[in-house]
Amino acid sequence: MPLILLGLPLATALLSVLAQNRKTLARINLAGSVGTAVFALLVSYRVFSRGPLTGLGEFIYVDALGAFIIALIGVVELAAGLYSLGYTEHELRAGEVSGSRLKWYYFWFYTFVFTMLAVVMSNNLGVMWVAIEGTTLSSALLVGYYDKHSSLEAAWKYIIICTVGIIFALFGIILLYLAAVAVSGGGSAALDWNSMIRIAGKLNPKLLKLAFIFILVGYGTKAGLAPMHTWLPDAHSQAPSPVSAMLSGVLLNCALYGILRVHLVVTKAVGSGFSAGLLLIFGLLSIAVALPFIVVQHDSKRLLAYSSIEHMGIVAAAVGLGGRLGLYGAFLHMLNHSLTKSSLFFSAGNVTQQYHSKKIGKIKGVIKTMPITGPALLLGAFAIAGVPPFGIFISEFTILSSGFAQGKYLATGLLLLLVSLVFAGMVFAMSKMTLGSPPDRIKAGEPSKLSAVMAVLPLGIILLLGIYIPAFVNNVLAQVVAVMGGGN
Amino acid sequence: MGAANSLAALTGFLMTLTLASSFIIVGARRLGSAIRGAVVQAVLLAAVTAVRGWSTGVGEMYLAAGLTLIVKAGLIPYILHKVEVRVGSCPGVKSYVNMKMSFVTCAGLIILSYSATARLVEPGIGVVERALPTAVAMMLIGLFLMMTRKLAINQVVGLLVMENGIFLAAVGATNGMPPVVEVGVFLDVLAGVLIMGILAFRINRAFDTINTEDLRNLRG
Repeated sequence: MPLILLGLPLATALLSVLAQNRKTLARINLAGSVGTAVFALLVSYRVFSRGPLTGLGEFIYVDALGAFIIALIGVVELAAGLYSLGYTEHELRAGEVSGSRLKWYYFWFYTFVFTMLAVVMSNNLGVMWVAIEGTTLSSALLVGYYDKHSSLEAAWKYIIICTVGIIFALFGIILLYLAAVAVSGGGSAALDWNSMIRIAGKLNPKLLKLAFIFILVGYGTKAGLAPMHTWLPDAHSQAPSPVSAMLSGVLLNCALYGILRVHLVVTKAVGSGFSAGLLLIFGLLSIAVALPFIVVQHDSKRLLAYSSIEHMGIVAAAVGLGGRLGLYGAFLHMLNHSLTKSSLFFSAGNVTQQYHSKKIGKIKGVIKTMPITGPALLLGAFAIAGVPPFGIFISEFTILSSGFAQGKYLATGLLLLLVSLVFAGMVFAMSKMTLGSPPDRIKAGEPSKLSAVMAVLPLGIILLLGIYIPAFVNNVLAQVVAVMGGGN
Repeated sequence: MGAANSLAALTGFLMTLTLASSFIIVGARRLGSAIRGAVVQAVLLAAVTAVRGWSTGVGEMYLAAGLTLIVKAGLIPYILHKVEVRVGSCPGVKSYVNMKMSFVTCAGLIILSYSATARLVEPGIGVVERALPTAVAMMLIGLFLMMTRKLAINQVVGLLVMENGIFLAAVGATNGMPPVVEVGVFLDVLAGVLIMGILAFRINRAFDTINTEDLRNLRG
């Protein structure tokens, strides 16, 4: 089953290139996104109901933590795939890109999905590195898809900064290998995560600490942690909106996943303080760095990109703060952020197509012109900022109360302060766009029905998670927390 | 014992040569000579790997040496050369730091990496002792090249120097990464250079230059 899950997006990517006309291409995309999502959920269901899964020798290892991210990839990939149908159709009609490029869009889209799944499913930390670099390579041309000056600049910065970052991570992996070989002897099994965690206690702590620093800097670059985040606002804002949703919604989580795997090994080897402390510092720094850019932002998609930096910061800080409840909140937050940010990027994409601009100053009265996207954008803004009926409020509240309960007043207080300031900036910018009276030249309506529906759908789930967390979600999160060690 | 010692000495010598070859790239005044410098470095790196394979008896090292020759001394320079031909000549080094300062800085980086790694590994384990500082120095020189060079292709060459440094660390400090990982890394490097080449080509089409100084409109 895990092999089918890896094979499906790859097959879809290859078929997309072979497709003869746009109708076939749309059908291939539909089948590919639905199929991948179904198998992603099946694999995670299998893991959550019957425990960790290994395959392909020991190359594939999926435990609750991995299964959780696989499920997220499945859901967001499905949403982005469906949204792409309407979005790319509109871009073709508007003459933004030529029809012959469309098949390459889908080719890279599904290659990107494949590499993300490979990150989460690989047991060998070296193979995981190869897959994470693969995510950069497969999404770079998607970021530069529009072939404009700004998108090429974004794509170049993206591929260069992330590749440099990740080379540091490779050095970290080599240090880990050096430490592991000294204990277990050589062979490819030495880098397997499940064997490394078993012998963690015997590994050279000095090497492990150094390795973690390199890996945190390397994968942290990809996860958008400050101060290595500089590529993120460019890439996430210049990419086509469905791709932005995948970059923000799941790619950042995949990179963070890479850090967490090593964090677990290091924590077991040298105690909890070291790697958790670093995660807390980088997390808080990310929120603080994103804050001013959110408050004075002029570009709607950059606003969302900086908000992603903020939310990855919150998750990293929450993992750093630790505690059973805090970790529960961290992963609930990851889920909430993925869905809310997808919805927001879809809304922003619709607005951009209708207003022909991403500038916040030029967008007014979306609620009046766009009957579905308008409310979705405003509600999405409230949701991402953390207003009560939505899921993010619950997860932030959980994280904060866990922090205070552990007596970590300074860090938690800082977190609370930063999050409330971002709240104000976010709601202010979004209400400028949605409220007021629209400029005369803008026609009322939606780019397409499908695009409008896709903006609302993820938001519905978030609303549900805010009011009531179903038993199975609770169970899933509890299992993820158990993998994370329950509390440091 | 004598043979093992001389092998270790040979490995060390080749590593030093590999590091020294970075200066061909640092001192390159034209794209073409930077690319040639990368070929020289790749060949030396393959030699280090092959000698390590011989002295450790790990057969997979020969595979890594062969891949280094094919990918880093063959395919990648070929791709870079293709891009260079298509974008036309860009005379001058196009660097934020002049040649003299570049040499001085890189020499400083080498001293820095020797002193920084000295405390990390216990002395007396031979090759490892020499591999780590050499590798770190190459990483830093590559990073320096990437940060100071303005032309897109020169930045890619800087990236290759960084990657070569990592590779040297893997070959020297451990007995090479597991073959699956090794092959995967080579694939990534190759695909990476290919995609960067495509991007550089498109940048040249849109901006009429591959000077990345023009790529600074996205702010705030």
